[in-house]
Amino acid sequence: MIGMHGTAYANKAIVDADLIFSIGSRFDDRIIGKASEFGKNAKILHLDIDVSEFGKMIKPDLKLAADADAALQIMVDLAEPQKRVEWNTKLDSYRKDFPLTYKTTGDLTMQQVISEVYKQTEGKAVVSTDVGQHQMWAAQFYKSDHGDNWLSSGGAGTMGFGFPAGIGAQVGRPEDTVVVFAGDGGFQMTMPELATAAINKLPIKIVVLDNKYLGMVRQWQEMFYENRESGVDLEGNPNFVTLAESYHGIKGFHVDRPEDVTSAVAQMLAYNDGPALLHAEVTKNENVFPMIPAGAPLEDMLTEPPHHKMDKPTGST
Amino acid sequence: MDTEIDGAQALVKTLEDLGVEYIFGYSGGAAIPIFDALVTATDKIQLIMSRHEQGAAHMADGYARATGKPGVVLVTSGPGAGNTITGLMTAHMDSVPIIVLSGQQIRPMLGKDAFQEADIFNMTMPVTKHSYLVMETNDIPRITREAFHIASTGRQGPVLIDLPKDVTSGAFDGSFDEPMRLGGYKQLLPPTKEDITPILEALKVAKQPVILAGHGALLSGAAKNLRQLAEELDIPVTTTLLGKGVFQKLTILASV
Repeated sequence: MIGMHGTAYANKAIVDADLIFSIGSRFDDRIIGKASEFGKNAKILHLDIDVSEFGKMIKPDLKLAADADAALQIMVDLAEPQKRVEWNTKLDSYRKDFPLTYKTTGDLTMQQVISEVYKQTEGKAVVSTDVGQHQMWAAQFYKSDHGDNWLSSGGAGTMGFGFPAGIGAQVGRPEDTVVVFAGDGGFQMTMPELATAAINKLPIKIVVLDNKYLGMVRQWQEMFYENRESGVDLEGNPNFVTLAESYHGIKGFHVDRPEDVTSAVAQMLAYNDGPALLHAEVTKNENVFPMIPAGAPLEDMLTEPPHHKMDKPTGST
Repeated sequence: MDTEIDGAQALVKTLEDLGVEYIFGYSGGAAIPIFDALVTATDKIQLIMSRHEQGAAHMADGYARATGKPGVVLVTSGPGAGNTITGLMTAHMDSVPIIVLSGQQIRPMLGKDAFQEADIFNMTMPVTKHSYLVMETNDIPRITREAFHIASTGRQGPVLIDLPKDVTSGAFDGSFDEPMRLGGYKQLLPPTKEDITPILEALKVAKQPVILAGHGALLSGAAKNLRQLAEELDIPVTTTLLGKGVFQKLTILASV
């Protein structure tokens, strides 16, 4: 994944590329950073079903208005095999040098909970996320193995989306495991749907990743507003376990220590008589990296907390 | 038809014919005829009642993303419809097909600031692919089929159908087979070899190419062909947030 919170190695690949072929991507500002810098040394190819996307963000050198699969089918029929050993070896070394990491000692982190769910579901669950830091970590650490299994509000970034979207997915795919990752903020926006999930006996798994903050905004305030917190403190959160269990048929689980994560996730996944909610209390003091400040070029990517004062981003929100 | 049916029953029958199995909704006065028809006119469509209309809209969205079928929402007029705006915007931004059916005040009351009246057609204009305000009962089947067609073809997206209560409770004596009137809705022609050749040429001579796969690749069902092309040409693939998973885990390429 590239972009604001994409992996370092993917962003480096884009910076080094001499050709970028977008298939069904609209060059969203979260992906490209500063438009005038994106792929400035690369030939830009754009394949999209909607002609209004050509040139909206990035002017393509070659464009094709077509259904992606129809175009790719022809390409597959006509293409002659090629090898690019040097380029792929270089990218492989980026992957080894810039892996995604998180601390496994100390306080419980969202990354650890998400990784454990990924492990125990073998990457095969339908995952629905809400919006915020947890969404980015879910994208980084829950490596879905199928496109239809990843539901996330990307363009709009709508908090409150994750849980009801997961309900809709479970209704449509009753045989599949559906896991919702929601922050404590977003979950509280649409949590009345606990009733909907309960009365329909949906075996949906809801992981509430609770750092008691509007984490992504807090991260921006820490990085760009000299750590002045304003409007991000989610004091007064309920006890999510008792709240969930106040609905007949929902089972609640709780975890707040790294050593308990494996068993807590296993218990949540094992309950199928109705919804299961795992309340994971995690540390507030985590920021999502890599990060490209809004409107900055991909080259300005930070892979760790900056040691200097950062200017406020102006290129986007 | 021997027995008389009303517009709402014609609507529900059309939805059933279109393969709809679930409707995510929340009732209210203006939508009662349609909720009534869910009881009288079908035993195939199940109502999933939410606790807020925003929840219903996101449920339909998640259903569509996970199954590839348009999600259907049924809400009442005014605040009910208004509560779906964020859900419509969410689906619109990510090109997800949902159909929002909203009850509406009766036709003579439109524009009179009537109880639970909202100009939802105009309120949702920027966040829908298309919208309808149904003014004739007999138009219901055609408009419904058009809405599904628009939502699920080309660049997919949400469609709103606003249904005044007297239109849905009025007697239906039209046809279920009236042809769609979508002359202005142009689909792209299929790509040709001539279209493709310059792209293949550019890929061939590039020394350090990257493929960026977005949501469109996923919505198009292009995963298999994309993988094949990337392997043939040995080009690394990365994705956007929503393109994630379209390129199933590979061990051969240094997939980024």
